[in-house]
Amino acid sequence: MKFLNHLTLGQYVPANSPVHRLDPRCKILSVIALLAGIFLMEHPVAFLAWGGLLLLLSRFSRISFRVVLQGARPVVLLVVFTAAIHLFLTKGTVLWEWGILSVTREGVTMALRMGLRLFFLVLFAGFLTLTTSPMELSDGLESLFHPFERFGFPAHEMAMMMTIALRFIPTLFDETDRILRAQIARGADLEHGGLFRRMKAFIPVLVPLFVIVFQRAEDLALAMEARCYRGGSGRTRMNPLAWKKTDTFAIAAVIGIVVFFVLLDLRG
Amino acid sequence: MSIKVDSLCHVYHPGTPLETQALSGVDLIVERGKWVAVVGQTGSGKSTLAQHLNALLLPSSGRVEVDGIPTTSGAFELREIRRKVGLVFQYPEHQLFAETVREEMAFGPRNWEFPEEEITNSTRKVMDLLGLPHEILDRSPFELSGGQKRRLSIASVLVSRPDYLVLDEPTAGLDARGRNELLCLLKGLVKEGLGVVHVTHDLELALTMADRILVLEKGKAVFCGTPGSLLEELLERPIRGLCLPPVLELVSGLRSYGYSVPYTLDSEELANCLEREIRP
Repeated sequence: MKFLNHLTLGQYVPANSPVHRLDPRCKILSVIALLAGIFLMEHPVAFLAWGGLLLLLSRFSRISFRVVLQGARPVVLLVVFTAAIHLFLTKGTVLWEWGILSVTREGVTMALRMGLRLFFLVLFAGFLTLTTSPMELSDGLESLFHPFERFGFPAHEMAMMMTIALRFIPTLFDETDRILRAQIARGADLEHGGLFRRMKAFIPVLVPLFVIVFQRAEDLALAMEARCYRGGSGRTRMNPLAWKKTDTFAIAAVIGIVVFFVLLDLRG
Repeated sequence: MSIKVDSLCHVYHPGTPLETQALSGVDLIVERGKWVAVVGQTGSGKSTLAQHLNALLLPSSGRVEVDGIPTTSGAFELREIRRKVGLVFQYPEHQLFAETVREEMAFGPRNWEFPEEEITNSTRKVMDLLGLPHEILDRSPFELSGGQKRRLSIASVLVSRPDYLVLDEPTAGLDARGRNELLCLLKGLVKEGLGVVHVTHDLELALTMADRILVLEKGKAVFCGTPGSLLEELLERPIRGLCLPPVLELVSGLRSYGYSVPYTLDSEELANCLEREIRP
């Protein structure tokens, strides 16, 4: 019997690759550049080039292509749905008709474009979390948002909150699984009945989960206070971020590639 | 009428990098009115075995039968198996959710569609049995003390009148008194015909309470038999992952110095024997 033992979206895969070693800030900025590039893509054929880039990235980061593709599994339905909507609802030259459904030439292009765009967005964004540990990620974000602290933006607090949230996802997953099993052992039926009944059936799982969450939050707050945590000002870190030459090179390469792709795409 | 476990194997996450063999070829028979202890270290597969007994996990190979019904049967039989085999998880008080103790107790029986009247009767009976006062029926389970919460969560499983009860470390986190009370109570239930499977890492507890002991080591059964024969076996050769309770360590030391003291876990009895030995 399977309850909740699948891997979560975009889980970190530890490895010692050039991509893993990059500064998290470099990776965050690169991903932003890549995502912007994907948004600008018009021709479905251009996505072949993006696919090639994806393969190359997977080689560089020593993560098997299968694992990279797995990251897109949760959004497959969304991609198909988006593509279907564009396929049937775009007006233009009719190619095929059946009842109220009609497929147009423009619809096919649109469906491919939107579907692929969404698909690649998720895959490239997934690379960030696959190659960057949650710790590094929040350190990177904190550092990137640091300049905005002058305008009252709580960069450190936000990063700390993110770290804590990420840290507790697997723990809470395990807890949920345990409670689920305990209630099923007491005869709870979570799989049958209508939507409302099934939602109601989850109350015996959600209530204990909330109790545990609050308990853990309180314990954690206490533990942090016992270690004299008092916010971000003047806090040093164990592994300070260091921007290296390779980072400059990497981000320059990424921006170069994106600009090149976009220019190619605009030309047709 | 018994739970039969026949060369049970279980593999977690088959076909992924996380693949682990949690149980390999375990045999066990649990009869009603008997106390079976499953002993082993963390990661020996005890909890996995426990979950097989009421079909929360299904065998990768091998068979588990509850009163002749295999756990791989359809949904209808599965519900019956889960009623027959009550499962109390580690720290069961984490499963409490209802607004009142009454509702908490009624959760299981309602899932199995017991008539309301029967639920009320059964609730009162089980609460008396576990020493929970009836005044708490309308209070929130979250207001109870730690020991009461533990007993309530066990009561909420017993109220569906299972024929077997599987408990995963039921005494973890209880003080000495709460522990003894709980063990006494289970002993009483066993006398009335309940089959108990007690999963624990505490060998001494298993030796004193159980009718039969299964020792697991890395998913394999390294011993299965009566406490007496386990003792003999342990004194002859150490079983990996199990160490003798301190009292027995002392006994075997004394015997090797020529004192004829019996193998006993009762320190008082030992003291008396020793006194007789030493007195001229």
